[in-house]
Amino acid sequence: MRLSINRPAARFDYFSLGVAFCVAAPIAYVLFHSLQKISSVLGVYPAEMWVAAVLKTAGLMLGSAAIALATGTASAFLLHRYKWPMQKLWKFSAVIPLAVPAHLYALAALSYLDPQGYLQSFLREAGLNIYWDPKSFVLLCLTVGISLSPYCYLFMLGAMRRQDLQLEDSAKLLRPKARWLKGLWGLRLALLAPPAAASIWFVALDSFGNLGASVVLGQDTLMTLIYDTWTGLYSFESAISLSMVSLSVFGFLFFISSNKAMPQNTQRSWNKSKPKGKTAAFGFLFLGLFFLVSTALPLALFILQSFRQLTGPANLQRLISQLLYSTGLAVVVAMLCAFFGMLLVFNQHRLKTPRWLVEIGYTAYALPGLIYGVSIYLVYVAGLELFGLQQSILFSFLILLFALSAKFFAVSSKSVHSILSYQPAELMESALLLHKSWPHYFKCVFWRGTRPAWFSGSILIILEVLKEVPITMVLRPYGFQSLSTEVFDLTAEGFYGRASLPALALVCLGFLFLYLLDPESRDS
Amino acid sequence: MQTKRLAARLLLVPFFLFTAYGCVFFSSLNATKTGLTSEGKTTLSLYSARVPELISPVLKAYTKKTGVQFKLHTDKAAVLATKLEAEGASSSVDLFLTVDAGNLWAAAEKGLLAPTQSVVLEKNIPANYRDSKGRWFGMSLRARTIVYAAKKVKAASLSTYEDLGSSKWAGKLCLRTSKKVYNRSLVAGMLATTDASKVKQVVTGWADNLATSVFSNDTKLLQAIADPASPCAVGVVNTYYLGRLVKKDSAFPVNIHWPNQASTGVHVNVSGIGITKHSKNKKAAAAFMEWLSGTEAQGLFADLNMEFPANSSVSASTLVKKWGNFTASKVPLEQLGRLQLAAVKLMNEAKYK
Repeated sequence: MRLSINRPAARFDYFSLGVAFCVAAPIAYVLFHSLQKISSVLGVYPAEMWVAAVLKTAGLMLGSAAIALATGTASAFLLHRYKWPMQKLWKFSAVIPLAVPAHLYALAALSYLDPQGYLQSFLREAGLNIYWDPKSFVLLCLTVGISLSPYCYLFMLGAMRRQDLQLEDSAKLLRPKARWLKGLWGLRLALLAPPAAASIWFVALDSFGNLGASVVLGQDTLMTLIYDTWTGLYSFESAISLSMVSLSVFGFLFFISSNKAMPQNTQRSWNKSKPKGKTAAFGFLFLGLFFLVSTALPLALFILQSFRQLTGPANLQRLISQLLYSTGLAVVVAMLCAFFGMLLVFNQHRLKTPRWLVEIGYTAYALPGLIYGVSIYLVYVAGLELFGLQQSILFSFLILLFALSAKFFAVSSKSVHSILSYQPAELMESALLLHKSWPHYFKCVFWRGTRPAWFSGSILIILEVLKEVPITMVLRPYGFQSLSTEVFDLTAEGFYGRASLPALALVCLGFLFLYLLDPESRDS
Repeated sequence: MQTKRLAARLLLVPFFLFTAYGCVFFSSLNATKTGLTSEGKTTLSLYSARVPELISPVLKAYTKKTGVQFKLHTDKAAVLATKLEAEGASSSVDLFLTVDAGNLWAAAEKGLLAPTQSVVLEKNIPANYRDSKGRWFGMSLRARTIVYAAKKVKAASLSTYEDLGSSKWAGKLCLRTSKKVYNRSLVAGMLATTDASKVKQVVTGWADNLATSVFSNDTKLLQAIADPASPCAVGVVNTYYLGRLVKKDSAFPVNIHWPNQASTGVHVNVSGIGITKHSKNKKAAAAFMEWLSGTEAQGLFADLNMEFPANSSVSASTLVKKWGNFTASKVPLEQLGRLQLAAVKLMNEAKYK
């Protein structure tokens, strides 16, 4: 009996083309209208300011990526390799920064390290004559790197759990006198390179578009210059043009995907018995201090300090309303991203879509949220005018959902692409031989294999949307204020007391969704 | 683990339904509280660059008096201006409220605001606090003045903004970032009365005298000046930031000095409002502006943020009056907008970050 495989002839992926068009068209639209305006602002900033901003941006991308990779990999390695008391708590702590917006993190770091902050006040009370201004480029890299370290942690932990430990034991047998570090360098890190590259992709692009933390810490990056061009010089077209130019310099270097295929002979291996020892004790100290000093303590102190500044009764009704709105928005966006992302990735997996087409679909993730949000708004208004429609709350909601979905669907899709790269190429052929049709393949192989990634990707998208400020501010319907925009508005005006409750609510909500992540799917 | 997954899935659907209902509930709740409904009564749509806390009480008071409802949308001034420009004739916004004359001038120059002829407004708001073509009107004033730590600086040693650039203040001066529109307008105001090369010299002196890196907001700057361990002894802030801190702690150890009393006067700026070009309710919007400029509303609007009323017949709050009288700058505020770009360029060249 001859088995026939229901494989379509190689054809173009029109679905991916459609998605890429919807995502990138607003950018092309505003770019077309903006490029001629760029010269009007170039003379306002001296040349050395541009050079410094470019260097700082590059430094921020590299520095934050290095810090995120180092801390994320170290955390993943220690938590994967060794057994700790309260293991679940440590694993949860490693992803806490996902729940906190970067600018809130920077504010928390400043409240901790500021001259009027807890650390310096304590040292002065202890008798030290110290007055140190912590606002620096290094602190910016540290803050952004630590706030993005969970991405590296998640990618690396998943990759480590897929590594075949027998492979490492075999290598040790062959070279018994090889030092631990050589074994690590020669073997483990080579296998971890693809997920490391993927995590660096996320971190670098996120730090490229970082605005809040840069403003709080007073560092002039390209993004702050672009933002200043728009808000200070009222030149939105120039801001768009500058954004495109800087994106082409930095962003497209990272559009070359880092998802290289893993070696075919890797297999899952769960190491249930984990050793303890000197390294474990040292690692415990590292983990404990790291999480305490960089994550939990500054955040707790900032919220406590803000509560102390609260005067008058809190508006609980408004808070609950914002809580519900923020959660509802985040959940709906995650569902949309999961649904359309699944269709897209399955199609790309099936049809072997060209890399350039896939990456164009992720363009929105690379763009700063503020620029993309206003680009969408301009296209939206032009569209309303074209069809003779009036603005309404429903349309505003729909356009907000579209913008957030276009911006963040890369978060779940990229992680699924990464999972699919682990699959041997023969798996699809074998599965199709058995199931004979694509719907069966989708249900029995694709969906089952990628389900944990979709779920954890959706949780990540929820966390991103909860924290997101620029697009939510620009496109939100009348009268609707999310928790993150409320915190941003109030802290920008110095109303730290009033911002304390929304900030606490935002962080608690983020913790709740982090906890909902299944440990296996979170780690993978 | 299976139980947790099942629980998460089971909870998700009702949770989603509950939040969707919550959104609807929120919008109606918000409407009841702040008048954001459009059933029957006139509804004015307002784009505001001031946070809701600083405008909602005024809107509620007007709703209570006249029944006119409001739709309030807050955001940064530049974002709102871009949105207004994009919306064009299809815009449903009636009023544009923002801080700083630079923002108001930019909106007017972009053609976003319509001229308003009103005898009441012209009588209540002095000419230098409104647009010469009637496109916007200042509704409250703030002074950007010198503040100092009483224990670190003698009041007699302070004089003018320009003097802060002299070497005697080296390592003692602290300032907010030059990117904030308040400082840009301050420098623009100096450019309106003084030669550009002299202003550049002054600003370069400021930058050289900085004790620390620039602050992102005036509150942090004031706290640094008040801190005995800090090298910051003197700075330049908007008066209402000091007012907020003094309200929390009456013994806050920072005082106000009114500079340039013998020459150009203290730099002042406004929170202002204008009717949008494509407003469908120009008459109702003008009526609201006239009420806002009157004796009934001026006190309320200014007191929300501890500012000075733009209407000179209305006195300021007790706390604000404690700061004493001063001679304000007579520079027409629309000049601050015209000179903003030059001010930005000058500050960049002077390396004032």
